[in-house]
Amino acid sequence: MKTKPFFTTGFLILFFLSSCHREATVAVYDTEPLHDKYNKSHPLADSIQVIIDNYVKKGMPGISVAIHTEADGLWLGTSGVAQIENNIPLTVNHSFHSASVAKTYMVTTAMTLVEEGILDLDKTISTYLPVEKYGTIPNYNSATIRNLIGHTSGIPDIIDNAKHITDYFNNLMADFDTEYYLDNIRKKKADFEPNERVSYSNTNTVLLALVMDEASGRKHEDLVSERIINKLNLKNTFYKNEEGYPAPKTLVNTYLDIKGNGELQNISKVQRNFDVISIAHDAMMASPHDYLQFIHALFNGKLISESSLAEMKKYTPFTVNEEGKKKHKVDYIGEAGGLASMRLTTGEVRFGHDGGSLGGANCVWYYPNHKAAIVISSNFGGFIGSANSDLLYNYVIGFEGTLFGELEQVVLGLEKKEKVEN
Amino acid sequence: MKQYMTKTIKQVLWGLVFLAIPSSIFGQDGFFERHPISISIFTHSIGLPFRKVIQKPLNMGIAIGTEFNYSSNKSKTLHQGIQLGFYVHKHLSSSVYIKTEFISRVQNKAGLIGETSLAFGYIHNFKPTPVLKLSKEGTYKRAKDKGIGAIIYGASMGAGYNTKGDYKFGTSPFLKYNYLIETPYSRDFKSLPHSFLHLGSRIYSSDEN
Repeated sequence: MKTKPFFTTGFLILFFLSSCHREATVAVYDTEPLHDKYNKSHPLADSIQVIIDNYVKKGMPGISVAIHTEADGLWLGTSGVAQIENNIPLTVNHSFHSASVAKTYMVTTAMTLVEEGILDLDKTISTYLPVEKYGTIPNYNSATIRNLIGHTSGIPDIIDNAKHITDYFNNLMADFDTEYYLDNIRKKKADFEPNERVSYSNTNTVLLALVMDEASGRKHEDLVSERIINKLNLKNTFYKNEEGYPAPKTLVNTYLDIKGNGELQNISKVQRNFDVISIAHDAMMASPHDYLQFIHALFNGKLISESSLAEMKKYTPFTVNEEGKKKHKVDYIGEAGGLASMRLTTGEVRFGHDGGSLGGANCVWYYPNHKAAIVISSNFGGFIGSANSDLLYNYVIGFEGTLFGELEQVVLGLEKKEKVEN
Repeated sequence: MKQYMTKTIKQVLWGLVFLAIPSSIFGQDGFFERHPISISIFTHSIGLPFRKVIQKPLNMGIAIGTEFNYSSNKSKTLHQGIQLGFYVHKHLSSSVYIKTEFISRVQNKAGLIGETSLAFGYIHNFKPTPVLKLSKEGTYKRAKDKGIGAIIYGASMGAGYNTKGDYKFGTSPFLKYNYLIETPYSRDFKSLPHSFLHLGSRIYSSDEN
């Protein structure tokens, strides 16, 4: 048998494949400073800078943080790079992909419609979405708007299902539209009856956006721009309408460790395409300072009324068993109206949202007891488990060994918590 | 993870060696008799079975292989095949694989062929864009892409035609759908399903008969 050509061909192929890569970078700029009026002599500045520098050395490409405390005001800081390949340093002006943090913006916008009487939280989605187009969505006749914002609708997730995930891996630059996403769950059995329990589902926020479109007769992106971005004069927040979207000049390059083995790829083009083909549950970009201004405004009556905020803060606990309490050292981990919420047994409580996409990782949290806010953004894909995502997220407040835990500990002046195995 | 992959690669290579031994020892009618060269081009996709097998943009690949015959019955035959293939999936990977298949094939008097098979092998994936690795200084640097390996297993079905009806010489064009599971894929996604649609031909050489 002529084996030589067989194996020679194999080695040639291996050599070819190992040396054949397409360039993947996209342009990234540092623009004129948008936010230079912050407290550079914030008393926590040095200790926070040491922490974020340390996490960059551990492997996070770039970290940008925004901190606000009542006593000392705002501090912004960065470490690492906005683009690895050309060693472009990260600055406080750079913007990051929101991932699921966008959900809080959508629910806030919906609450403005509730205040105007355009939306009713207790009406079913069938009240607003025409049956011809949406009648095959599970729980179409029984899930209410309140169920959508609290993730108690039982409607299956359009993202977290095998059909979509494999479709997406098959073509990471796919031009999916909202119809495609909804087709993946049409005629499927609902996960449960509304209010039976809580289950996080991206579909809820997508449907909420469609409800806003139908109920208001306007595009939900116009409402988001009008009622949040323009109202707060957020120059570094982008969602569909804003100039430069989906590639504003301040947007970082993003990186993914798809195999979880420490090797990063530049995934910027894929992430930007994902923003184009997605609505509501993701697809925003903002700088940490803009994320912080938003969450601060939300909790300080600048966007919605106190009663609307109270509605958003109503939670449905999803980790309440003894094992969960012991593991996370929390009373509850709850899914509220566009906000996740957690409370330590000590009484510390946080409201906000985490986000992780192929090219983004964010934590945007507000602490009513301390009137403090912490925002962390990084340009790595937090959606897929990797050493970097382990470094960022942990539910335990003050947890030593994650960036989020260590920052929270310093900003809130908490005692160190022992390391907890997950 | 690296240690695990090295172990996996060794296991797969030893597995392929052992699978090849019976072919060489027990293949009837002489050592290299009846071993057609099989050449095919194929489309590759990720997805649930039979979903979006042909789509745009096409991810193309090429495969070459051979097979050993385990039976002399001309209408129902059992074969073991070995195949080397590579493909480029634009945004996911460039990959090379080697697999062995146990093939059950039927042929009617007109030369029409139907077959099913079970496959097992090894795949090595290279990233489509440059690889960046953390240096000792704590900054990322561009690194050589050594790729990462995994086991593949699955099944296939196909149809073809034997041009001469004589199993010892000629060509046998075929169309074959191959569904393979790659594992481990990543920390969060333990496996990744692959679809291959091959169009090719077995070429039987008379020189070695």
